Formats: sequence, C-alpha cells, structure tokens
Amino acid sequence: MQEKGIINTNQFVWMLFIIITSFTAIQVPALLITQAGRDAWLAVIGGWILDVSLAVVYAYMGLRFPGQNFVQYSITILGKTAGRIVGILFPIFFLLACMFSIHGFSQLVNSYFFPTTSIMAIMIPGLFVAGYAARQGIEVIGRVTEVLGPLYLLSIVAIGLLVSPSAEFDRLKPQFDDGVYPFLIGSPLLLTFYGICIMMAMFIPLCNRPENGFLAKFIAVSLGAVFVTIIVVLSVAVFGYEQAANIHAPGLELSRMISYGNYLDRLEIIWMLLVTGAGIIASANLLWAFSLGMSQILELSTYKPLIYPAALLTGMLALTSFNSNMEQIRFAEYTFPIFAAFVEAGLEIFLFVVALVLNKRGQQYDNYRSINHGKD
Amino acid sequence: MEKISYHNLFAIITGLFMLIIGCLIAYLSQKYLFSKYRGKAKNIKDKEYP
Repeated sequence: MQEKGIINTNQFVWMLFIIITSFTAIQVPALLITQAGRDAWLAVIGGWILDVSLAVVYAYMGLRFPGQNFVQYSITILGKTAGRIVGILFPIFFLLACMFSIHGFSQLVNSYFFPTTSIMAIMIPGLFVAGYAARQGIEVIGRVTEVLGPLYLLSIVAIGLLVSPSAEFDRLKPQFDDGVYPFLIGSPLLLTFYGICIMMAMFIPLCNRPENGFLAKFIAVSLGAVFVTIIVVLSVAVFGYEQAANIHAPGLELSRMISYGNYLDRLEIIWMLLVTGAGIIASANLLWAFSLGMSQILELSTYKPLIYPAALLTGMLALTSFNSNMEQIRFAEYTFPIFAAFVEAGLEIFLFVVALVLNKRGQQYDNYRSINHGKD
Repeated sequence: MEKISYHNLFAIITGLFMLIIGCLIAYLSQKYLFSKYRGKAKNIKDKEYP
C-alpha cells in the first residue's frame, strides 16, 4: 500500500492554506509589490481568480480518474513511457518548491534572529523534522495543520488590527498610476505561488469526500488571498510602496511595528514561530508528495524509504544553489515562476485536453464497488 | 503626488468585478459539475475518515 492515511475536508483545507501561506508570508509580498506597486492588492485578486479557474480543472481530473493522483493519471492517459516522462515533472516540481521553502525560511531566521549562525545549522534540523513528519504519513501532517492553520490565520488578523493605527491608506493612491500593466504582470506571478496548491491533486484520492476537492481548494486559496491582501495592503499603507518593495519579509516587519507603550511589543517572535512551524509542515507536505510521486513512477511498494534521501537532496540543493540572498530573490522572481507556470498550468491542461480527446477515464465508481465489494 | 480619483474608482470596480467573477466560477462549478459526484466519487481506499 502506497499511502494508508485518509484525510477529511477540513484537513484538506488547512494543509493547502499552510502551503500557500508558508510561501506567501516570506518574500512573495515584496516581489509582488516590486511588480505591481500600489496595485498589488488587485494582483492578489487577479491571482486568486486564475487559481480558482485552474482548480476546476484539477478537481475535475481528480474525479474523472477516481483514486488516482496526477502522477498516476499521467500514466493512465499517456501510457507507461510517455506518462512517466510527464508524471515525473510533478514530483520534481515539489522537490524544487521544498528547496525554495526551506531555504526561504532558514534565510529569514538567519537574517532576522541569528545573524551569526550558519544557515546550515537552521536548515538541517528543520529538514529533519520535516522528513520525520512526512514519514509519519498524510494523517499526521493533516492533524498538525488543523492546529497550526487557524492560529496562523488569527495571527495575521491580530497583526493587521494592531498595526492598523500606523497605516496611512492614502499611500495606496493613486491606483493604476502606470495603467493596468503592473497588475496584469503581478497576477500570473502570484498564481505561480498559489499554484503550489496543485498538491490538491495528491490529496483528492486520499480525501474521505473526493468531490469536495474543489470546495476545499476554493476555501484555502480564498483564505490565502485574504492573508496576502492584508500583508500587501498594510505594507504599502505603512511603509509606502517604494520601501515595501525592498523589505525581505514585509509581514515580519509589520509585526515589528507593533508597540503599545512598554507593554505590548516585540511580537515578531510569535509571527516567527508560526512562520517556522508552517514552513516545516509545508516542507513535510512537499517531501511527502515528492516521495509518493517518485515511488509511483518507480513502481515501489512504499514511499517511506525515499523520504530522508529526498530531505538530504533538498538540503544539498538549498545550500549549494544560492550564493547570496539576492540570487534567491532572482530565482523567485524569474526562474521559479516560469517552471511553476509550465507545470501547474501547462502540463495539467495538456493532460486534461488529451484525456478529453482520447476519451480516457479512470475506473468508475460503480464498477469499483462491484469488483471490490461484490455489490450490485 | 496628485491622487487621481477617477483611476482609484476604476481600480475598486475592477477588484469587485474580479471578486464577483471568481465567486461565480466557484458557485457554478460546484452546482453544475461537482455536486453530481456527491456520494459517488471514491477515494483510494473507499473508506471514511477514522
């Protein structure tokens, strides 16, 4: 058996929410403000609408091929050889995303809290915990996100309320100062980060209600969009868009702005705890998806022996790929979005079109019931 | 810097329009596509959450 766990819709939502926010909490708001300036909030809504549209395709494919994730239905649609060549791109994308996530939050902890500590000393324990969680299976990750997710959402709402006295919303004006071009560029950029939630295709076959896949994704990405909107709007309103674009982690800087007398300040440590927790759990999810996908490509009976080697590979990639923080930002701004758009939108739409043209379907539910349970 | 009210209003209308379109896509997909599978779709093990 590949994965024995089953998740419910609630866990489905929170897992996707944690994945979205672990990426968007760190440097994505700054990238977005660089691209879209004051119109960044519109780009968040634009990215949201694109992602909701893409989710329809993913959810439909999950139901057209019941019990199969995208690695498996690539093989069903395209045959063994071509299906494996296409299918392997999904796990590779998850490995790349995991490398990006783990490097992002390690760099953040290193820059803001432990500047003299080696980044390796932060990254390796994080990866070990992520690997350990991934090895326990999807149910364990799901339960952790049920605790972390609501706390994370509440924290950003609380930060938003506490920092709002410092905000000057006139700084959001004028809108469309450079026309609609910045927001039209910003929307696809944000889609590539929301789009890591193509992970939903790995969750649908494991959800107790697969037909709720779309609903879960819609709720998760809407909560994620609220989260990013709060950060982006407050960052521009508090710092101004020129300065917000140059801040590494605007969410963290916003939490630093909170100060009520000598009583309520230094709240960034709470934010940091949540970012670290979410980053590790998102990495666990990505490691789990990579290992499960690779085990299905290689036709292994279990994915668990691949987890720690995958964590080691991620660590090596994260440590050796970027010589500086600037290189990582350039990777996030140029390289990652191109590969992500190709995998998230291009490959899935290609599979969808081929499945429609060739009229390929998975094993239907009624047949499945009669074969497995002797019913009807 | 001059605050161009005409553009600001246009931005708010664009944002609201996109929100409505997104919600409409979600509502129509859920009502006419995914609700058909309610109680029929199976997961990998055909079992309930423990």
